[in-house]
Amino acid sequence: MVPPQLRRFLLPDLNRRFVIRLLLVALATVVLFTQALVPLRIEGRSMEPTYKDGGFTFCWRGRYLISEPARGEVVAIRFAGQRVMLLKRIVGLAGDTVEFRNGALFVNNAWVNELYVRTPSDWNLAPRTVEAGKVYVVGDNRTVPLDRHQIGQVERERIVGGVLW
Amino acid sequence: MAGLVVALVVAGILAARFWFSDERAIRNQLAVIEAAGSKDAAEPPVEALVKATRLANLFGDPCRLTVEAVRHTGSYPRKQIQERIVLVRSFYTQVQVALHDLAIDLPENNSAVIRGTIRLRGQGTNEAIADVQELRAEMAKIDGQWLFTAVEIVQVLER
Repeated sequence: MVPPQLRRFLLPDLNRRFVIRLLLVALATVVLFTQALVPLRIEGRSMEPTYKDGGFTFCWRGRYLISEPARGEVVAIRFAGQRVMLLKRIVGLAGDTVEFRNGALFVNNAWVNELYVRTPSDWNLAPRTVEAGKVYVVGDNRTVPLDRHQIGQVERERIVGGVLW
Repeated sequence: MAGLVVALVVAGILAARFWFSDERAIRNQLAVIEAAGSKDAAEPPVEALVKATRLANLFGDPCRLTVEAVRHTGSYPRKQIQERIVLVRSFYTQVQVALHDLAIDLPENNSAVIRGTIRLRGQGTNEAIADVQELRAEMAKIDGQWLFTAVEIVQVLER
């Protein structure tokens, strides 16, 4: 015997009030998952081991509404729109000098202990200064040869948000 | 009943306007990039040539190509573009081309500006290949056909 309250919840009367509630819930869901929490299906290995190929997370668009991106944070970077985005980690802010020496990251000539990097690399990248209004981003997977890895400085306005986890 | 008829007529007019619009024609051309750019593992050489020709026919003769990352701009005849398409497609044993987030502006008659993201996923001779680039392109209506007159690969990350 199904309790009446559960029965009403599972099989509600299709009256006008129910339809309005259903439409409002649908509208709220669309707004939430297109404007605030954008679902991200991860494809590619550039952020391994932090984010694995085939994984799933959300881009939280409110992350940088009242604060600025900081070093060490993982951000979603848009291309022409939001259907395809890059997940990268910020290693340098505007004015910083970024450099790789035999796989080790140096920011402003100081070695950075990157606990999220688990594999050694042989990357070498001459020092470069991050321009105003930009941040420098790199993937966590350094086993990919540098010339095939998408890294570099990107306009701040291309950062859509941070990742939820 | 009259309201329903009016609604159907209005919907029909709107659908017809979209169906025969320049935007629709441009989207059809862009769909050719996805269809003819993609390659199956067992693609016969003749089909490869036909697809390269279809792709090359999307370009004006000549067409300006710009790659921001290497600061290169050049104007290339259609024949040369076709040869390059054949060469690039031969690097892949299998590839899937997809366009996303397309925005089409028609600032004046017979010209259009397109922005979008192009994504390649496939298999090279020895390794998996995945690439994403932002595109900005200009198209012009030439002899009734929308053709690319300029294509630019936008640099999103600058080393």
